[in-house]
Amino acid sequence: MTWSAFPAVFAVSAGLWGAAVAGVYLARLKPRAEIMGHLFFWAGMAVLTIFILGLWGSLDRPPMRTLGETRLWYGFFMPLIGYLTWRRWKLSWVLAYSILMAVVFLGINVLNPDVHDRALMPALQSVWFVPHVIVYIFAYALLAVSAIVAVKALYEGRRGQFRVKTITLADNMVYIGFAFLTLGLIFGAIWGKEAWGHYWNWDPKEVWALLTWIVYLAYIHIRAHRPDLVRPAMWTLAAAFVVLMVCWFGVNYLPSAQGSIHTY
Amino acid sequence: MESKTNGENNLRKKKRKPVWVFPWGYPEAFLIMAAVLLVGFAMEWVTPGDGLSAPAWPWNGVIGAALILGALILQLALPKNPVVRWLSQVPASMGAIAAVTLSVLLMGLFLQGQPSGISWIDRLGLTRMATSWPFLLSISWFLFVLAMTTVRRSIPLRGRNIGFLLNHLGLWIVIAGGILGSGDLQRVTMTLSDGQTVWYGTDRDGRTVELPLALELQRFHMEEYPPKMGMLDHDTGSLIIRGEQDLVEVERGRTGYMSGWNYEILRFFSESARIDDRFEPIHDIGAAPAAQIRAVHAERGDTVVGWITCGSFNMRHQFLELEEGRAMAMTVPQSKRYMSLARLYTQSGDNRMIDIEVNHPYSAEGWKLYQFSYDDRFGKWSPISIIEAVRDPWLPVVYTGFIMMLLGAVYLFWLGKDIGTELTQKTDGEDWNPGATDGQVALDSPPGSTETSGPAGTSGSTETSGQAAGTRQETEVS
Repeated sequence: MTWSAFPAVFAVSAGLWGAAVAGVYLARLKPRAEIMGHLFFWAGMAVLTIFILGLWGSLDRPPMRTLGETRLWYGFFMPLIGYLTWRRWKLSWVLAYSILMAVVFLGINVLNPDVHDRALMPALQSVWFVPHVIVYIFAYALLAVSAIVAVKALYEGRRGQFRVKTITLADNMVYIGFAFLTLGLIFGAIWGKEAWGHYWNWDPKEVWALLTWIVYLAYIHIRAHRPDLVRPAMWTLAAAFVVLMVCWFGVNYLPSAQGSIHTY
Repeated sequence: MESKTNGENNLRKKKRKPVWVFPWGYPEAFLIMAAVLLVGFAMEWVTPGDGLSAPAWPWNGVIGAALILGALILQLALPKNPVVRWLSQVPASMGAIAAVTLSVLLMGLFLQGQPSGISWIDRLGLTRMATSWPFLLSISWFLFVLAMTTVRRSIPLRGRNIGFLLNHLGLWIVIAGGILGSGDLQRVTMTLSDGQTVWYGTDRDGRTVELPLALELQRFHMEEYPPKMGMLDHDTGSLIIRGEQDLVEVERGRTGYMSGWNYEILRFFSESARIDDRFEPIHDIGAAPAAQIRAVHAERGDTVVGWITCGSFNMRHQFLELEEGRAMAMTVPQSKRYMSLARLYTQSGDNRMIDIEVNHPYSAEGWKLYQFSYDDRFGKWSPISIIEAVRDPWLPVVYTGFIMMLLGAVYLFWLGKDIGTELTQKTDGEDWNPGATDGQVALDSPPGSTETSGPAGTSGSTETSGQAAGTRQETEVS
């Protein structure tokens, strides 16, 4: 399966997910509609999964190299995290938002297909490639949800009262997301040692990955030290996602990134 | 006495606490952060140079030991000193985190490694932040505060602090080991050519470094992906690529359509030479891939048959002209893998054949040997192979820190389930500034353990609450 099948895959998955969200909201009126939510959600995931596996096969390499390919994984993990959040904390809006984000990111791939290249340069042929990228994209997807949660918390604060449930969710997302960010950073360092001779080369992508890590570190410390300072913490969390996006794709456009080993 | 302290704090809560009056909090932390950066840039300005480097063994070891011992002595001798206490708490940490963030942010914004040509930017060290004074001072301040915090929490050692220690001590070990270890890091390149034995390398400053090993190149080997072909637009000089059908791998028998033409690849040789107006397979230095194409215009039906090649260092490339401004062209193949087959001689008398491939370095005599480069003018026919030899005696230290941080991350993941609930219990209630805010919430402690302990459990509850009130008040100032 190649990228030429993607517009169809996108349409089917997005449609199924949309039906899933409808089912979830309908379940508030008719509890039996919840089963629709589960069924349509997993059907949409299955279609996307089959596409990713097919693409992996046709490329003869993990589809994790180009930005378009990482968006694909992002679109895979976002709904999954939204679904788990919904199951765990009964927050249907998180599912709806994460599916919306996934559809936006996958939609970029439909509108703006890069020329997808089969070739995988020797430095990327490593056992660390898959864990490094998967762990990072999973962290990005979680932290994206945390940013949405932060915005919701700020909105609630403006309306009068912060809701404990919302802030709790932000903290949970950040702790798990930060753990994955740390794994990604260290896997990358170990891989760097094998491929480029050193675990840290101050490559622009590394610099921004470090910045991203530090901003979430700051959030964790603000929360742990002063749980009562909700508003600054939530602003930090929302801003942290901006740094994350610079790291993910913005860095390619910065003057400092000329000659980066991470720009493909 | 204690109640008086509290009372004073509560009174002062109405007014601003003057800066530099104990207990310190965020304003002091950010003033020190600013001072660290300003002093750093001032030193950079008055001592122009090519950048700083860590001292080599034993001085880097001495500095590392001094940092640890300094933190230990301060915490053991003066545990109640307000500055020592402040250095072990979140406000000081946030100041140090901010200092590092700002200097790393500058690194992320300015192109590093080459002078910008703008004199003040270069003189402030903005184009080589990693070796500049502001970065060195920021990271030293960060390491000192982190050491103070970590030591404080380790006395006495408690099982419930395991997550905290894995993360904080692990990070300290990684950063200290990385920065101090860079003083002993050696990276040299060895340029190998067929049949010559090389026992030295050249470092980045052009100095020759003798190695305890020697390499004799037997063969440089490269595998390539098949070349690709596309439609060249003579006006722009680049390929017309609208989708994946416009840049395809060359393989015999492939048919397709691009930019108005249907094509078929009649023949393909991955290594060939030009003989008159055709190509024949040949395995020799400088052989290049070539393909014979038949192209038929989709509407007009006119047919063109001919050869394309991307050429090599001793063979000219060739397009297939189809119509005005349009030609079929082949791209230079990308490398799939490359490696050096070499004989290794060591001082201890070893003599064996090894291969060094990208992502598969070879370790010998405390050095790691990496396939680094080759002469890209010749591609797979490169007569030389460049090997990078790296010696990093501090690597086990840094990896120990990595392992601790990995375990710490697993701990955070496990904690992630409950931490939010626990933290928000403190936010929940009628008052959004609950007095229970502990000046030192046990970050990373297991659920249920954060509510009481002051720094490392050494302080009594009254001290803690007095301090907490002070901290809260200062934060409002900031």
